Amino acid sequence: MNKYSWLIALTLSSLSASIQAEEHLRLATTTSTQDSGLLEVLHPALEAELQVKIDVIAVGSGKALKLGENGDIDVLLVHDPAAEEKFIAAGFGVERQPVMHNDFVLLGPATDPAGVKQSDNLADAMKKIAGTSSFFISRGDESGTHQKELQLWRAAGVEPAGKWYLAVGQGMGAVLKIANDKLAYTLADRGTYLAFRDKIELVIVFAGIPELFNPYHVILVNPEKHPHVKYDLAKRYADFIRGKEGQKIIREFKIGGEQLFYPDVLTQ
Amino acid sequence: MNCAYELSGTRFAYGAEPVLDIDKLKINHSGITALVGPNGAGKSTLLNLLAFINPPAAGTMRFHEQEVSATNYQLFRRRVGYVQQKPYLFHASVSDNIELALKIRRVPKSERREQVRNTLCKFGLEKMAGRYAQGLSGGEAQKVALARALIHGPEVLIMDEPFNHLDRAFRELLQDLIRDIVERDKVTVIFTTHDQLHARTLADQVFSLIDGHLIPLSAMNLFTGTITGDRFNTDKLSMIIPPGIQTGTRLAIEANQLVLSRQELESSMRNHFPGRISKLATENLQILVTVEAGEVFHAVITPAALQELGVSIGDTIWVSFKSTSVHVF
Amino acid sequence: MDYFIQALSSALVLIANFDKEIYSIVWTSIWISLVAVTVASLLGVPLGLAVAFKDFFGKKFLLQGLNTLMALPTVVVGLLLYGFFTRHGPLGEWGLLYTPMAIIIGECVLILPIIWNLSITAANSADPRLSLTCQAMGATAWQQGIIFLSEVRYALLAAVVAGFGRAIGEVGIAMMLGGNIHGFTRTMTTAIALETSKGEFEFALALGLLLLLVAFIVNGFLQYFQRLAR
Repeated sequence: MNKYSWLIALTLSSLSASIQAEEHLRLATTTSTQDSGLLEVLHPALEAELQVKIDVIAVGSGKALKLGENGDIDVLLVHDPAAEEKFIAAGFGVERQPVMHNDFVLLGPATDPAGVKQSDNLADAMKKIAGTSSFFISRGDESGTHQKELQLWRAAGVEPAGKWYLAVGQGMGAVLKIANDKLAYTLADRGTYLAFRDKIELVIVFAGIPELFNPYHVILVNPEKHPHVKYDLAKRYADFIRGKEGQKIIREFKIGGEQLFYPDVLTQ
Repeated sequence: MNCAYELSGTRFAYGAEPVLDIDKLKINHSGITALVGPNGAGKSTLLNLLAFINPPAAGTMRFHEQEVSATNYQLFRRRVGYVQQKPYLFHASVSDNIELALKIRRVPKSERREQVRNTLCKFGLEKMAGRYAQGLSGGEAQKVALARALIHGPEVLIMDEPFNHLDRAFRELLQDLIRDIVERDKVTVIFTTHDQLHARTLADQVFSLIDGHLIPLSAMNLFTGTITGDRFNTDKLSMIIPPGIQTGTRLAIEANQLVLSRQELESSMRNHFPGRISKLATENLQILVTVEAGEVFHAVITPAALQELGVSIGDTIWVSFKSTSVHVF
Repeated sequence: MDYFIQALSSALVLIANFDKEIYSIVWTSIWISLVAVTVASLLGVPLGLAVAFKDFFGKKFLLQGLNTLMALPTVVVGLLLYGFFTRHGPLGEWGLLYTPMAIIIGECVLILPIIWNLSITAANSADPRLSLTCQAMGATAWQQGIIFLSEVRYALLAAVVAGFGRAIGEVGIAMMLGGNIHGFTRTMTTAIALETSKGEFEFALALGLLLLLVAFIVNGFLQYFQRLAR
């Protein structure tokens, strides 16, 4: 073996991959799974096993569900339970099943000007943010994270409006950068936060309670509504990520030594 | 007679290229002066000097007995109206174009309005007062430019090739206008043309410019050649010139110095050449006779004289002139 | 197709009902671009006239550079200024990032070469007889300047309008430096990008139509001025 043999092998394998008439599976998922880097680990194994190319459309959960409604995609991996249930009830999707969960974290500047760290509970934390002049950056894009955030404000009895509340309508990564630059508070999923941790100076000011859990479900687009969707392939995708190997990859996926997602099917 | 301009030793050059070299030039006040010459002879350059746009490189200039110096050019400029060859009109209405000449001179608004109205009337421009100047025809634009140059009552009106590209009717209108302002307003009019005959018939004073040199007559009859003794030889003809002239490559004779006759004349005139009439033309009540006598001569006579001669195209005719009436330079 | 027509009609309803949200976004876009174009014009027009009238070493190089910069990619402007404005950047202390001021500065940088360059063209487009005519009429240097400006006014206005059109239609700078903050830095272009990803296609379409309308009006002015300048 010389030092170029791996290159030749790689070229050959990519050639053979492109020679086979590849099938494409379109997955709509949230920016959080994409930004964390999980899919980059999960999908190669899956693509090899299923002989399929997975096209990932990473958007907010709201938009992802809309794509499913229109039949633009075959399968969803999302985290917005309320909207998901509506989606199923309306008959757009079938076989909604849990895959994994991570949790949301409240982030803020290291100096914590609002004193969120000393909060007794989540509602108290949210009230403290709203009660100071510190900015709060909201996704404002109807994503799962945005929905969760709105739910937290409701639970705390705070109207999220005013000069302190900045809705930027962008993905999690962009929101983290803006919050970082404006020394603001924000709500993020742990995965994206860990992926960005080295690039920003925000710290976790409140986290680790069940109210901040963030469950991901896989949903197949209803083939009765959209006969052209690749139902069988989608089903195999769901089986894989809920199967032994998929769940193992999810559990072992770490950023900076920290586990990001917790498998919901196999817990060992 | 009063002098509007007196130039002496005036030189002008673009870089190292001498364009104008005038020993002496006097332009009469309240008269029409024509500057004639081919393209590139320096006519426009001379006009720019007379309009005080460019100062000469050397020499002195007097304007109405006043010494012109570089420090007061602006003031002299404002005593002159200048109409360029293809006049530039501003992107504005006709009346705004005319009014601008007064605005530059800081004439109060109320007076301006009155004067513009009068000028529009005088030039028959009332109907197009509100029109956008860029949409005017060549003749109309010329008229507006003339109105703009005259509204402030200048002492001198300078026009560069004003009769170019004008139709016949407008040509005559412009001539009448020029005569009118000279007579009534005592304005000095200076214009350039390359039409020798036109210059002669309209102007009181005609100067010809050739290669930047001024000769005090029209160059209707201009020949090039060399001097040998008391003779000036062109390729085709040998003319007697006054003794004592040693240098010069050009010879000019004023058109009205040529005498035409059916037979060879017995007279003191030393140059006699037989020829043939090749062309007869009328201009401003005078007749231009073109004679081929080796070289081509142009003579100007009255219609009565033509009648007396009783000649027509193709007839043989003698051209005679004094040796002293030639100008060698 | 049905989907598109339905969306289009809901978009038109939003426009016709003067949806407050939509018009506040339109207004943000317009005022930010107006300020940017004003500042860029105050710099670009005098610079353009100066360059047109003066000969100096490197003029050819400058003209070439300006021509290249006219096609400056918005994201490059956004990227460079982000580096300046971010909290650890050289200008981080000013706290400009994610404010309208940041967009204004970015758009200024974007359109200054356009206005500068087109002003040079405008000045050069003046008739060569103009200066002689002014002199012959006895205008002072100051008066000549005023007359000159008045003569090339339409070409200069066209330069300014072209700059405005570029500023209001760009998305890269507004997104990178403005952050698309609701009610603060959200412009028509960033909102269109956002609303589509949110699935609010009708809302985005309404904004798109209004942006088209603005572009149409701007272009109308541009052509009008260019015609008058001839």
